[in-house]
Amino acid sequence: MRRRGAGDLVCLNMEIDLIFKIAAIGIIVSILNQVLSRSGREEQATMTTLTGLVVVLMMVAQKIFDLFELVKRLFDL
Amino acid sequence: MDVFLKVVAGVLTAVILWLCVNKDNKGTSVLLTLAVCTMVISVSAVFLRPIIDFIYKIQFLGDLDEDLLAVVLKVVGIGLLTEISVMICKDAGNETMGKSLQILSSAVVIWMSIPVFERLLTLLDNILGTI
Repeated sequence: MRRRGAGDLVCLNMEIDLIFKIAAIGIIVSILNQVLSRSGREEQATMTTLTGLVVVLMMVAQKIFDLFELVKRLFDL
Repeated sequence: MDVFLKVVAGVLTAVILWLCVNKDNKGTSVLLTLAVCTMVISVSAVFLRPIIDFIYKIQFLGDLDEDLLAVVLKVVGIGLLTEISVMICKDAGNETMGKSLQILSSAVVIWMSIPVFERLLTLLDNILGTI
């Protein structure tokens, strides 16, 4: 009978704080984008948007990696 | 059941936040969707593990071939990842990428199923050979 290791799947908490952080960054970036655009600083608005995207991507990347590892272990891929 | 209710509440909260973010910042809203889906599937995995263990128990009791069952489970895993990825691509407005990912996953699934088909052909050959 195939035996599976113990303790390799522990994620019963949905991290709500990460969701709020991402949403907060998104809202702040969109506000800054609008302020900078209306004051004629289009390039800085674009840079702000890109920076926000990169920050959020870095936050999410680890979660995506963990998900892939989880699916690999669960379905033995 | 507490976990399930917390996840439902979390997803509903995330949807409302997504509505706020999506108007002006579509990139961040897609990443928010990705983060939420990642977390929900991670929680689902905790409940999927005993199911998979039960399937392996049935396989052991029924003396079924472990390799064939492993292929089936791998196909399920690939299907799960592909489905989520395709839906996220669709939400982001890029169905083309999602479709190309579907084609890739179909090719991978068929490739992984080749040993199963070979086993079937061998069985048919044995059956037809004895007739």
